[in-house]
Parts: sequence; structure tokens; C-alpha cells
Amino acid sequence: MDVTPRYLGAGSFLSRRDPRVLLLVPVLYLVAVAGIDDLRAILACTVAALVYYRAAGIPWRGVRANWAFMLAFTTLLVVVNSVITSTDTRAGGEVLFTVPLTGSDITWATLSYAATVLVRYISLAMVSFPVAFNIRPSDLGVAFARLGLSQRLAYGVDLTFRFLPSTWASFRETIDAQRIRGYEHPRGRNPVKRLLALKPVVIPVTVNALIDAEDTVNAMDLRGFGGRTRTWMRELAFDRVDYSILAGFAAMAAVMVAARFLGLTESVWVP
Amino acid sequence: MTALIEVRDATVRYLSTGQTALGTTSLTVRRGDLTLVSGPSGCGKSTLLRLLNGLIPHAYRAQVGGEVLIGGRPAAGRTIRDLSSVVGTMLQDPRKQVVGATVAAELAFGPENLGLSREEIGRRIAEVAARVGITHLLERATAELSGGELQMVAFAGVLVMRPSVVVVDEPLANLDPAASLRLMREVRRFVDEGGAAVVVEHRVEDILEFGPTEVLYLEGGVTGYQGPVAEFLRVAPVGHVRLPFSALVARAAELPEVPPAPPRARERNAAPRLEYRGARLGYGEHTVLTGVDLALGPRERVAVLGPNGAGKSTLLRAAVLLVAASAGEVLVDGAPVAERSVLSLATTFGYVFQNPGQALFSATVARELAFGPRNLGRSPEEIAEESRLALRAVLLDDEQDVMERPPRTLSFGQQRRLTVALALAMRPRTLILDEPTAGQDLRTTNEFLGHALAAPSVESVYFITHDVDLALTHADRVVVVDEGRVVADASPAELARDRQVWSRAGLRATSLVAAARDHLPDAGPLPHPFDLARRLSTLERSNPSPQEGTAP
Repeated sequence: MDVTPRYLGAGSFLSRRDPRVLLLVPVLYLVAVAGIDDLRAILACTVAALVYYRAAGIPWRGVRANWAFMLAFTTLLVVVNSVITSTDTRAGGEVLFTVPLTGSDITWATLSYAATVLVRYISLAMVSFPVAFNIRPSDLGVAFARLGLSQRLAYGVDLTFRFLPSTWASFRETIDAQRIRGYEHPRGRNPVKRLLALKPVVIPVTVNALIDAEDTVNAMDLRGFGGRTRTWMRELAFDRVDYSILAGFAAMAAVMVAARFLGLTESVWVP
Repeated sequence: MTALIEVRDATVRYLSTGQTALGTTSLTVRRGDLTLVSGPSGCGKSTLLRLLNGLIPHAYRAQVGGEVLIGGRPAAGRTIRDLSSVVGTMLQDPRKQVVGATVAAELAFGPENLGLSREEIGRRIAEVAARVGITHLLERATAELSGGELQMVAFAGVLVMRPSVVVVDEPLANLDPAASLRLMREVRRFVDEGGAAVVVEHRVEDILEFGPTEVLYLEGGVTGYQGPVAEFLRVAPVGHVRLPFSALVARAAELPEVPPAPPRARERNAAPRLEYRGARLGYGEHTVLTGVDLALGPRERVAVLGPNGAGKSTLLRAAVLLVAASAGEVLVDGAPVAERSVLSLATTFGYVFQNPGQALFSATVARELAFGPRNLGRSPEEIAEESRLALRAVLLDDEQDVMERPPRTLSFGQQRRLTVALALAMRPRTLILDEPTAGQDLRTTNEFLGHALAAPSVESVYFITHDVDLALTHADRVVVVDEGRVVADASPAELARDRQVWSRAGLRATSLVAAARDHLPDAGPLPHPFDLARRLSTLERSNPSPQEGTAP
């Protein structure tokens, strides 16, 4: 799996936006969909998320693996939490079937709630993917700084993305160095044993990363980093489209929060 | 004229260890000076640099004696940020220095920190990029740059802050000769245009052509020599720094005797240990080497030489299945390597990676040594015996309680030797060493390779390097890899005479190559440089006209 940040949506509608828009939209969207139990309301929000995701222009081939991982992980999570081990007391009505071993009764309400949670996660991923694939790596630091994060923290975010490729390369190199001594990826079901078996890779990668980080911090200090004033070469400015997008998502968040307070979306919808 | 740097009787004692890393040292650097600071590993070179750029005492807690003036003002009490406007620093490894995601962002980093206007930053970036010839790289991601490009970008990132003096830490350590040459030319140009430079390097020969004005030689934290270059070449310890071959010839009478190389039982018609037949090698869709046809014998010492990124490591990693052939085939002892497992190959090849830190993870040396043999299913008794023999082979068995020590408490040189022991403990028949001496001083280099080549249980050694002299003096066969192909395969003496090889982009003929070309037979291994120097000195005495390849 390649963890290198990739600027896949270059030239798309969202890539032309101020990167702060791409950072703020997922936050507004999270506010909108948090706590909604009604599948219809979530689907309505998802339409907006889908339109937003399409505007990102991220090529399917580039993120196919990411989506596969995301869908597999969230589906597993939802099935285990909401269906197999469901303790949701809202699950009234006709029992469709009972899960063997756990004894959980599955009703239409259970399935509707599970679908709501699943769609919520998927739509959140739709608005979050542009953060990873539509912001130029060199824009991340300045975007966070202009959102009020301290310069050190903002540059820390920038550096994280900058050093992901080299840390990933170091990780792969370390695996190779240990494979020729007989190391194999841990298999088996015991998570503690699997974790301990990762020692030959995790320890060298961590120690080397810490040593390298010290050198990098020194190199930054030697170029004057950490002063009170700092110019960000990249100039950011919201335009009318940026404001419109933010206003749209802010309005959606406000409506959904109001609906929640009014008790319109807190019930599981049963067809 | 006020000196840019004035160090007066400075001493440095690190508070963390309590050790004095730098004894009484003085240094004056004025505009137009290119000062070479040389000496073996641990001699205090890095400590001196840290003193000049302010990392001592700001980043490293230390007790500093004497006086340090930077730009005519005392360094004491000034911030690193303040000192950085006078002293620009190039670290040894540019990968740790470059922080920008793109080249333009990297060049902007320093001026941004100084709070300059965007217009001024833009002007400086354009000017410096044009000056060092990296304008075409400005929009490229720094993660995609080659080692040479990255080094040049790192240097541009220093120049863009307009320092008066640059300190450059081991510029030749991680680069092939051609990339090093480009960087040092820029350093020289910076000095010629009114700046000054302090270059730390133990490969003295490679710096001489850039006309250093003074040499400061440190040993054990003490000044061993300070003065002009010509005199330094007459007094420098020959086994500790790499001197031009002409200096060795001139000092032939005082060169130490070199123990003869251990005998090798060569089998003329033996089946190859490692064979490539029309192999194409790479990573996924990225092809690195094509059309490789090569057979390496079971009792050979083979150097794989070439510039950074040429595919040297890719070539030999195919031997242990870390790289698979996408076309053609790779055979080990006559059988396709693809039919073997990585683990089973560990008893044929002991592959030693460049960075020992990538292997070391155990709490003690004993456990570290046991990891590989245990994976091979060896018994505790066998593991104990193999570990003991492996440590003895690399001369680490004399270290007190070495088996119980955490591996990372060993010195860097000892850690490298330990990684050879880790490979030897699995009883391989061939050792493969990946850049075994990068960043090491001459003495450590010779010690390390000496131990590896002399390991009694090992039949053959294949090693990867971009160090020409190392390849010529320690191998009996040299394979040159460049631009995705094997471009030469010859004995050291043959290679020295192959002018076409030395005209290639990433390689440079050293003074040793010139001497070998002019004075040795057409084929065969090279004698140790000391032995060759003695031989030529004798020739010179019997024939007073200057010998080609030995003139300074």
C-alpha cells in the first residue's frame, strides 16, 4: 500500500479552491451528520457529499485501493457493532431473524440504523478524501496556519506529509533488512503475539525516525525557524465560490442541527 | 578586514557525557577563505561546526571555553537564528535538511523564517535557482529528486539566506564523484564571489582541486595541524585521511607496511554463484536495470561501482529476492533464484545493508545475533557457537561484556561491524555489502572492509560502492553500472585503462586510477596504494624524470 500523499485532483474544481475550504467542509459536514439516526436525512446529506466528491475530480484508479480498504473496514465495523452485537434499544418491531451465538434480534429498525451509520461513514469519507488528494502538499502548512494553528504546529503538519515518503521508504527498507534474517510478517490470531512479532521492524523504524527528526529540527533552527514573525510565501484568499461552498455546508449543518434539536432526525426510520 | 569567524582557544565539553570533544582550538576565516577541516571520525569536526553555527550551546548542552566571534561579534548570547544570517550550514545528509515539499517551497523556507516580503523571497529564489542551475526543478517534489539534485537544492536553500560564510559537513560522503564535483564547484564559486567556506572532509584529495587556503587537522579533539595545504600533505597521517597519490609517492619511505591480502582459492571453471541472463530488474512498473548478463564467481571479490541511483543495489538485491526479475532470469548456484525462499538464500548470501540502524532491534548483542540463526532452526548450542565465531571474525569479541550490551550503545563503526557479524552468524558463503563505507573515514573504511574480506567462513564478497579507490583496491573484479545497464566488467587494472568508463557522467578517475593506468600491467588486481606508491618511488629514484600519474 502506498502511503505517499498524492495530489490526484490537480486542475479540478476543488483543487482550484482555497485549501482552507477543503479543510473546513469535512468539519461542517461532521457537525451536520453527527447524531442523525434517520436514514432519509443522511441520504439527503450524502447527495451533497457526492456532488462535492465529484467536483474533486479524483481519478477512480488512483483511489480504488483506498476506497476498498475504507469500505471493507467500515462495513465490518458497522456489521459487528450495529448488527451482530447490537444492543440498540430502539430496535423494536417484527424480528426478521436472530443472529446465532450473540442472540441479537434483527429487525427493520436494526438494519435501517446500520445502513444510516454505514452511509454516514461513507459520506464523511467523500468529503474527506479531497483533503488528502486535492490539497497540494506544500499548501497544507499555510492552510493550517491561516486557520489559526500556531506556526510550529502548522509546519509540523506540513513536515508530516513531507516525511511520509521517506518514513515509508525506511519502513520498507527495514522489512527487507529483517526478511533476509528470516523475519516474516506475523500471522495468527493472537493480537498481542502479532504486535510483539512486529518488534524487528517497528523498533528500528521508530528509533531511526527519532534520530532523523533531531537532525531535521537542527536543520530548521539553522535556517531561522521558530521566530515570532514568519512570511508564508503562498498567499491564500477566499473568493466568492469559496464563500458560497462554505455557506452552503454551513447552512446544511445549521439545518441538521436544528432538526436534531427539534427531534426530527433522532428516530430510526423504518420503511 | 574583520574576520567572518574568529575562534580563539575554544574548548567544548558536552554536559550529557562529560567528555571534552574539542580541545583548545583556534580558527580564523576571512572573506575569500576556503578552510578545510579534516580528521578521522570522532576527532571533533562536527563539534567545531556546531560551535560555529550556534547548535552548541543552543541545541547541544555544552560547556564552552575560549571565545567565538561570528561576523565580528561574540557568538555567546546570540540565537541560532541570528547566527544563521552570517553562517549558513550544509548538513552531511541533505534528506534531513530539506523540509519543503517542493523545491520552490524548500528555497522559500529560510527567507520565510526571516520574515522577508514575498517579493523579496521570490527575487532571491529566482536568483539562487538560476545561479546553481536548478530553475527547471522549482516545481518538482523534493521527494522525487536524485541525491545529487537534492544536495544542490539543499545548498541553494542555504545560499538564499545570503550568509557570509557556509560550513559544509562532509559534502562527499553521500554523493557520487560527479555530484560531489558540482557541489564543490558551487562552494568554490561562492568563495570567489566574496564569501567564505569551511568544509569538513576527510577525503582530502577530492577537495584539493578547489584550492583550500588552510587546513585544520583535528585528532582526538586536539589540533594536529593548522596551516597551508602543501605542508599538510607532507605531515598528514597517511592512514587516516585520503591523500592524493602523489603525496603517498613523495612519502613512500614512511608508509606503513601493509599485511598481505589473505589468499583466495580461485576456481577457474567453477559454476557462477550468481548469474543474470538477460535480466530486467526493478520495482513494480519501474524498471531500473535492463539486459543484464553477468556471472559472478563463488570465490571472487567483486565491486559494483557506479553513480548514485544507477541501480547498484537493485542488481545485488535480486540475489536475495528483494528484487524480482520481470524478464530474463537470475540464478543462484545454477538454479533459478525464484524457486528459493528469502530465508533459504540467507545461508548462501549474507546481505549487509548500508545503515546498521535498520537491523538492530534487540535488547542485547547476544539476542541480536541469535535472531537470524533461530529463524533458520538452529539449536541454542549452535547459535551460541556461531555468535561467538561471528563476533571474533569482526574483532568485536574483545569488547567487554559485548554479548550483554544493547547494540545501539556500540559506536557507529562497531555497529557496522556487528551487522556483518549478524550476517556471518547465518553462515553464508558469500557476503554482499551495500555501500559499506559511506561516510566513514579512511581508517574505519579499511578496518571494516578488512574484517569483512578476511572472514574465514566466507568464500566470496560482493560489495557496492561509489568510491572508485575503494573498488579498485579491494576487489579483484569491478562491475560498473550506469544509466540502467552494466557498462563495464573488468579487473581493476583493465578498468583503470578504460578511458571510456571514466568519461561517463557519474565517475571520475582519481590519482590512483591515473597511477594504475600508467604504471601497472594491463590486467589483474591492484596492489595496496601504499605498496604501489613504494614501487613508484623506487622507480622515480632510479629514473629522476617525473612519472605520469604521480605529479602533484
